[in-house]
Amino acid sequence: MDKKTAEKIFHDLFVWFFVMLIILIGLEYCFAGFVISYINLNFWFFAAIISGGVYLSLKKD
Amino acid sequence: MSRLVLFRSFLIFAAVLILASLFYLNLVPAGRYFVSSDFKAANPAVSVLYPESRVNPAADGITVKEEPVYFDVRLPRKFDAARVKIYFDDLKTDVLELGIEGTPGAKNFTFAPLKNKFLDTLDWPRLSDGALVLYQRDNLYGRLDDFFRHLPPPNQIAAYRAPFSYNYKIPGYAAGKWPREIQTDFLGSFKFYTYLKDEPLDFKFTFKSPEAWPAISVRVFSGDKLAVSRDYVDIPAGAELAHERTFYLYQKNLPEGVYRVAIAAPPEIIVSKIITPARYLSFIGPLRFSPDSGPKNILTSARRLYAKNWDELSAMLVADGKGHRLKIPEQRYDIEMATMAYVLKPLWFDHGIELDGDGLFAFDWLSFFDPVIQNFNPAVAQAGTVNYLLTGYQGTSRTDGSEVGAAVFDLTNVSPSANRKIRFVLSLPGFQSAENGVKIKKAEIEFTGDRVGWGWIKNKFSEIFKRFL
Repeated sequence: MDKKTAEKIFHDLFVWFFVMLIILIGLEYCFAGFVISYINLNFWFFAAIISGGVYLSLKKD
Repeated sequence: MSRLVLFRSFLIFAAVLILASLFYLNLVPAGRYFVSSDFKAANPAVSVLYPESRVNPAADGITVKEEPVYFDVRLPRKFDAARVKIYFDDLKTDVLELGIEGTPGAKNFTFAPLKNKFLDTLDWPRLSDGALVLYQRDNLYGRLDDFFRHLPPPNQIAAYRAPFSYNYKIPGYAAGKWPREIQTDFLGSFKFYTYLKDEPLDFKFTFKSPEAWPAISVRVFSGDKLAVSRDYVDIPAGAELAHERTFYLYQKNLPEGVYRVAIAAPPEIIVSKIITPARYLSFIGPLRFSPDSGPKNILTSARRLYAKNWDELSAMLVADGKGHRLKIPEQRYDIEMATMAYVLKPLWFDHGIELDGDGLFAFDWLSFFDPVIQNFNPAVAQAGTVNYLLTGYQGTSRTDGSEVGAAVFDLTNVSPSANRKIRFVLSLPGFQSAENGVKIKKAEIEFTGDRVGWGWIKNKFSEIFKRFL
């Protein structure tokens, strides 16, 4: 996989985790327990940060 | 299709799948939701046992060293019933009970027994239909149906955490025709039972107030259901304050049965008299008689009486039927009645005291009736007055070296908190010190409710439309 494709993949992954995180937090805010009863939001938070970090480091290079 | 497009499609598909499965999990379409916990760490559905100062973690469970302890369960949606299994060991008290809170923060717990050592060793013959157990001193009834078809008098029945309401009927009852006057001289709130059949609920209460007329409310219950509700708030202030006021409580077309009337008034209000044609009036303790009331004769079915004086004047009470006068102090004074039998005993006192006891009170022999089923305790069984014991307690079983107590709760009247949690309490009646505790190993809870089908969806939509239209 070339660097450009990897950069795009991690960009998409970052956007995906970030948007999902916003949606899940919104659902949890509206219906307490709706998300955190089944999903660990910490994982989504760290996944968003890591994918964002990888994307930025790839872009920098 | 490029690899990137494929990857983006996968992300969209995954997002839809995750959100759809979240909705599915929260909807619980099958109507069954199961959670469990060993209380060692909180999980998203079940909390740990708290307050944490009352528990000690042990290798094979959590030791409860002070009671009560609570735990919360988060519900994805509303359910109708909860079947709870508690795995425990080393129970040092005689009783272990589990309660569920009706309203968040209100501590209005409904309790169910998990273990009762006294009932485990009670050698009375036992009948069970799976939900209700009947113990009978003499083996008179062969089936539970027979018992409910030919109920014995209520004073022979005791109930312990039993889903049972006694449909009390007085055979050959004829409605009272002529109103009579009872000089009550009660201070503040009081409660009584009355019986109605083909007659209206008809009471006139005469209230006296030394200073102001605050709100007075009257609630009439048939079993646990509110039948009549009145609030007397439109009382004019000013010149009329010193006068007596009469309030009417009148309601036609009530079905035959026992009614519990509860009058809530501040303690400065005196209820000087009651005028009613009702034949039966049995008062529920505590009764507070005004210090200004003169000597009074009343009757009680209590076997243990509690009396308290109101003011510096010493009050005298004759409660033993032999004319011996007891001086009642200001603190609570416990009196064991001369006869432990469940019969009416006369009481006389010279001026206002507070009376309470394990029975009812009446102002004359003819108006007394007792529709109350006693709460069970070991003394009730040993005293010999109770011949039947109804309970929801089914006994325990043993699994994997633990004792397992089960309880079923009706959730239709349980409101979850804003974050959709319901609260359970583990109680150890008779607990005295940390050596009396219990080791809790595990809880398994199965919630059941409506299945989600087209009917359920239609109902939800019609509810939403009704709310907006």
